[in-house]
Amino acid sequence: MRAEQLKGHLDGLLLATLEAGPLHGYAIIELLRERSTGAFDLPSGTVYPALHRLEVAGLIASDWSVVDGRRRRTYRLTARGQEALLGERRTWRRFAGAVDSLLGEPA
Amino acid sequence: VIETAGLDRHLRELERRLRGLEAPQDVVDEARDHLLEATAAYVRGGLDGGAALDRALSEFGTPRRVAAGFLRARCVQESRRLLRDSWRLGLVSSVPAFTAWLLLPALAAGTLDPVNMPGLAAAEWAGRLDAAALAAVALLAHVPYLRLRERWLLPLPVLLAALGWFITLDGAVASGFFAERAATALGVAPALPGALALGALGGATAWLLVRPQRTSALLWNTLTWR
Repeated sequence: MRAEQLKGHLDGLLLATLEAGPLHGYAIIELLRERSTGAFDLPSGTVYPALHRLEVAGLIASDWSVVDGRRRRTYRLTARGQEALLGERRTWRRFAGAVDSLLGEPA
Repeated sequence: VIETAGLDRHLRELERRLRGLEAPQDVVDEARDHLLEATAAYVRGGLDGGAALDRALSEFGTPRRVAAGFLRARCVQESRRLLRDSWRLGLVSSVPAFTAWLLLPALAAGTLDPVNMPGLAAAEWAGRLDAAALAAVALLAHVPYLRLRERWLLPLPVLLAALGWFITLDGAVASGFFAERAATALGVAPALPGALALGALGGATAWLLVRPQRTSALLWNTLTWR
């Protein structure tokens, strides 16, 4: 799937990957790839600005640690991020339900 | 063993393109961690070190593309800051409206000579424009972050940079006009140097509060990175 097709949903998808617990950037991207069975195979560099935007918006927070001698940033969902994720999920279910009722199985 | 010369070159280019961002080293360190981890994963998958690094770099995207994403994100951040500070814009931009309001009783009583009030119409228009600008700011301030689509990333900084400069200029004009009115009210002959000085002071205050050059610089970055 092309990055352009995901633009309206990328932030919500990133929030969803952090729902189970804190992850670093590479793990987030791998989880996106795995859970979408390869459909969300984005240029990985484009995910980091999105994470940065989410952090500035207060929806996620990050901490630094040192792993194998190099600095690593780990992201976690904030309370505001949890709320935003719930909102995104509600909106998506409504939207997907409406689309499915039209594009799903023929009547 | 991974030959890191290509990685270092890539990261240096990324760092060069991130000039103007806060903490570019954090972005570079994060990119390094990602690229080394991705390379190691491809090596475990059977590729040799060079091919694994090439694949990791290719999947990561060019330094130009990655840096452009960060600059656009910063533009949004700056725009949101301006929106959060809209009460300051309101404080500055309320001067012309307040001035016009002060003059209304005199106008209604017919004691004010419009011929000697060349700035009144301008002040009234400035007040109307300010009200419209602040309404736009208030509206934009309530756009939910997750709804801020990519297509907003250019028009929003354009709008906010224009608004910032307008308020700054307006602050200068309104302050000068207010000085002239205050002098008249006090029965003192309005002095041009005094009005100009207060106008300059008002403009400088507005400039310090609004800091339109910050959004303009980011807007320039956005335009040149597209």
